[in-house]
Amino acid sequence: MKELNRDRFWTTATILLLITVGFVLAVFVYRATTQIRNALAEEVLQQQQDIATLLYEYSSMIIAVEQLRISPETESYETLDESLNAAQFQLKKMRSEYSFARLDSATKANAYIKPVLEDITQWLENGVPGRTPDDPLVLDIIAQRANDRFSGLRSIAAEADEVTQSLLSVQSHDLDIFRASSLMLLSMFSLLVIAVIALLTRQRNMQIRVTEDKEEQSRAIINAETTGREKAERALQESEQILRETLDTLPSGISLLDRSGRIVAANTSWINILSSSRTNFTDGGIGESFLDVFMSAKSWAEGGARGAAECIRDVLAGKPELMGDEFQLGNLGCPHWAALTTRSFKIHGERHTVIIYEDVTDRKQFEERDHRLRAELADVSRQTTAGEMASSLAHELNQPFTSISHNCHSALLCARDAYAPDAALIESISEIYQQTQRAGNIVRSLRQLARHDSGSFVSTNINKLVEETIRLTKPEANEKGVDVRLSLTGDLPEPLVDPVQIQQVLVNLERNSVESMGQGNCDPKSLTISTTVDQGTDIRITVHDTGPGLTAGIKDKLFTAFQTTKPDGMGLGLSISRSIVEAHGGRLWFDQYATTGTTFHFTLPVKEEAM
Amino acid sequence: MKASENVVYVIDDDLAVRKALSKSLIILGYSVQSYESAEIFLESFVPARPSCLVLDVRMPGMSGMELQKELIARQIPMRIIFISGHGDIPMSVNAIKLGAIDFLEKPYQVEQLLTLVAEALELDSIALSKDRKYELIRASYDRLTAREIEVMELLVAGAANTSNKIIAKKLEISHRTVDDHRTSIMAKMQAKSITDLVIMSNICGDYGNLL
Repeated sequence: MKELNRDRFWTTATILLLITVGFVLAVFVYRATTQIRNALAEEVLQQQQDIATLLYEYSSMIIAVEQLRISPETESYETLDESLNAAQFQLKKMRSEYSFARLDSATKANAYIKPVLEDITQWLENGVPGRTPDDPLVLDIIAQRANDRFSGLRSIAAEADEVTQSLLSVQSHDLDIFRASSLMLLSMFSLLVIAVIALLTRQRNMQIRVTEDKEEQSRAIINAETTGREKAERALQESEQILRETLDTLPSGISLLDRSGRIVAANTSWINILSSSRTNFTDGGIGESFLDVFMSAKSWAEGGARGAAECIRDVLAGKPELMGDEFQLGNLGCPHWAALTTRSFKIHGERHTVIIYEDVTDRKQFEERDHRLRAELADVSRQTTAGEMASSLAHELNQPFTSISHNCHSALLCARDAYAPDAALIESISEIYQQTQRAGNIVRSLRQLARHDSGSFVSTNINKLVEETIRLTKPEANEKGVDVRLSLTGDLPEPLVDPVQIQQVLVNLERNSVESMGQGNCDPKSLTISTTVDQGTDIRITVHDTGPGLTAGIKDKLFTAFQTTKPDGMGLGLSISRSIVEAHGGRLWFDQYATTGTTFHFTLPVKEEAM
Repeated sequence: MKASENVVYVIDDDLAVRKALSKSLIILGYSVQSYESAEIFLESFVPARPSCLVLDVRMPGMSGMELQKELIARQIPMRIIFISGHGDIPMSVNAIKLGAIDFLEKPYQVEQLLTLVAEALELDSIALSKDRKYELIRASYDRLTAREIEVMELLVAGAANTSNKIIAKKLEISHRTVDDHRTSIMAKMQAKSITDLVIMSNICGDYGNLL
């Protein structure tokens, strides 16, 4: 209701406004017609006068021409010029001043006379072709031309007279009636127009409003839809880009395969890996079968490539959906390790496969080196243990052998000196004696066989050796809750040692400490290995722990072979270690009066004596 | 192989070895003193000569090598035969450099050891008689007067052809006085001739002492 009232108000206001405008227009028209009538009358008279003037000037010009033809004098020329100019001036005046289209007489006269006047002016100045302006023939031609148009001009003037007469003779009241009726018509028309406009306006307003509402609504909806979609699209693009960048940043080569095993997409690393592995495929082999690409790489040609291909084929068939393994690719001369992870999955029933290729050559080589080091150490450990065992065993056996030998010798002397020497007894004893000697020789040769070579002595950076050893044994120590610390003195001289044997000593000392701390409930459990310069030239390596320390009973037997406090020990570690250190010309000892923990030291002379 | 005054010291921590070794030496007539460690030996051994030491290298506590150095430090002369179950070359080289008779690896040939012991005792008895001679010379020498020593030095330096006159001139005394001194020296030193005096002087020279 409110809206309807408002509409009516606006319609009424518009109609009133339009009526007012119509009224003002009518008044204006009335006044304008009056003015037009006056102006028309004025101009009709003006035209008649102008044409008459033109006729006069034109005829003066003809007269001047005729006079010249009779007596060509300078004065007459001037007269001709004057009249010509006057005629032209008149023409210009007529052209510029008339604005009513119905007064066509002036226009006609203008069009009729203008070329004549122009020709005459031209001829007077330049003459006709082949004749000078002085030539009497020119004047003849001019006269001819002017006369030709004179009668025409006269008839135009007569026409203008007639128009003037007819217009001025129209009764003034006739014009008034015309004016009144035209006003009425105008008013009625105005009303009609107003009504129609009002109607149309209203309807249109309503339509516009509805349309506008609708448009606004739909625009809002569209806007909402557009921004929503744009946002979603942008977010999707963004996440895709992030994913893409992430995949490209990964050092592993990633390729995505379709159902048939063709590469659909690949990240940058895969493209790089492939280009460096001597294949014929560029751009990651996209569009090609993965297995073709994989098998064509010359760098991977030998080794486990075939096995890897088998596994990938299985996953492509979907048998296991996930496969991850490490393969040695390439030939033995240039071993190359790759970790291949292959996984297949289904999206909308379509099987896709992702293959992740990771170059693990460095890790493998590192592992191998580590493994080799451990094996070497274990080997030396076994060797030295065996050697030390043989040596200790020999020593232990040598004592009774020595004793037996002496006893046999004594017994032989006694038997021979006896009152009645018993030949059989003497023979038996001497047999025992000889066999003991033989056994002794066997043991001696066994010991010489087992005695470790001191062949591989090299100038060694002890700090590096300590670090490397600790790297091998630290995990074991940490497992038992022992914190291993190093306190190394830089710029140590480099003694000639067998690095693996010295490692063996370090490992023995370290293990003893770790195990002793593991047995006792001490806290903190910490092991410190330090290197220092001892007595100017020697290097001293100290292994200190915060364990329970050594008891007096243990101290005495510490370096004796086959003496141990450990339930599963052989009792050879320290005696081996001491043998090794002594073979290097150094000393191995422990702090007798240590108050906390256990501290072992060993030295390595830098200037090695002849060994 | 007589001389029960010949003493053999035996040090070995292994009882069986110690006993058997001692027995084979006792049978041969040696006087044997055996000890189970270097420390006990140093505390309780009775110095006797001629003597020698059969010494085990590796023992708990003081090792054989350490004992050798200790004896040198204490200026106790000792012929040492090392016996070792662990012997190695650098160790034996070092021991022999320091004056050991030999270095045997267990189990050795008993005869070899016994021969070495006999040799060691022989060497020691020679050394001992030399020592005794030196001591006698030394004792005689100590009885000489200052003037007699001067004269004797000149006699030894000039040997047999040094005349009393030359000595008298050098010492600015009369040759008769020189002659008296000479007679006194020969008596005190129990020398029959100048040659005897020179030999005595040489023996003393071996000990790094005057003359």
